Amino acid sequence: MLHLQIITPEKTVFDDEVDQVSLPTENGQITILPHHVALVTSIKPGELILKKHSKEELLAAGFGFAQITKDNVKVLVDLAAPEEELEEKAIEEAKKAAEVALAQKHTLSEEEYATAAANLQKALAQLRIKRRRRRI
Amino acid sequence: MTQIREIKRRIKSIENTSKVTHAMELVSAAKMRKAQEKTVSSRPYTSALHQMIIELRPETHKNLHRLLKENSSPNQLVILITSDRGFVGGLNLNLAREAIKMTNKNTKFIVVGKKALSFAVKMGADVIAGFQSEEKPFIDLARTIAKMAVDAFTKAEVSGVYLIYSKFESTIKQVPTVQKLLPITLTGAEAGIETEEVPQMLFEPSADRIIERLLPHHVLTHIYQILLESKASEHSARMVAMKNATDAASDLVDDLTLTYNQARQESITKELLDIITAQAVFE
Repeated sequence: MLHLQIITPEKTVFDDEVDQVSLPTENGQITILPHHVALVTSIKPGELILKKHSKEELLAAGFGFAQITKDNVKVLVDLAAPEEELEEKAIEEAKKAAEVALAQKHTLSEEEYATAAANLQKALAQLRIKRRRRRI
Repeated sequence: MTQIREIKRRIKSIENTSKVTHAMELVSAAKMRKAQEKTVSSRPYTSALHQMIIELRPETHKNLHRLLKENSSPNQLVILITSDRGFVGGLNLNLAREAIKMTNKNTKFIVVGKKALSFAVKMGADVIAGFQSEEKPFIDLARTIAKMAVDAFTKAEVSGVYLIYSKFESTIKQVPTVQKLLPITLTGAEAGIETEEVPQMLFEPSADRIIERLLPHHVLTHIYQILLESKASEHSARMVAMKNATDAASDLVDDLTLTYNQARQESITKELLDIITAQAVFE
């Protein structure tokens, strides 16, 4: 068993035992099983899948970091929303707002641009999760 | 008679004031609850991030990151965070006292909150930036401040960045706190981790890249957290101050009502006395 903690600035989203967890890292999706080697990696927007008793749970992840030590997985991200909490409308709006912001590229400072780009990536990742599930 | 009317007028005015303070108390209580909740729920994230950095210590110290490296600039930067508005008891005063202790001619200031700004101006301090604490979302404010602090530090304009804010402990207790933000130090009790066997760790994509992202993020999160703490402290302090004011007002009203009744009774007795004396004369 793995002990998984998912913490965002708003709250502790998840703190429990799981069988395995898949993380969207900068280098691609990786799956952590018990007895994984100690690892520190950075998370990018995507889907975070955790499995417990062959039941799957899907979360949308934002930017952040993950630290794996022995049988502990600590995930610190700025967004971690369970699939059912995602609201398509709100995400669409966030996406549009980010796109509008990006369109005014020349008026933005470097940070503002980076923030808007990050928001867009997060919105896109959430939408992907929402839509993919519906098709099945 | 004039005395009685005077007392009545005072009672009325105190009652009106207490109505205002009571309303402010209720408003602050509502804001306080929200701010406290936010502060407390974001603490795990901040401390987990800090913990992670401490555990990466062997790696960060291999080649010293620019946010860990000390420089020899004589200047220091103080980020002072107060409330925008008053009615918060001794909160801002305590912070100002801490700030005075830190200040010498080489101290530069970034101030957040109107009270901090007017304090710095009065001190004749070198203010490089001033913000109001409610002009934009905290995360944006934190981002701006973090960038300024990191820039000043990496350009070696300042050798240390300190935060002065009131740490929220409970509704009735807020502690004025001075914290060192930069260079990031992982010493003291936290250094105990050094003696433990540090397991070999993998880094993906690479240690440098992770640390490059992690440390600035830590600075940002730290500032964000203390902005939340300050807000929670402010509303708590205001709630308590207003509650005390309301209580004091009702005590005062009780006192004055007693005096009023005495004066009224006195005048009635005098009148009665007059009537009786007059009657006695006619008989």
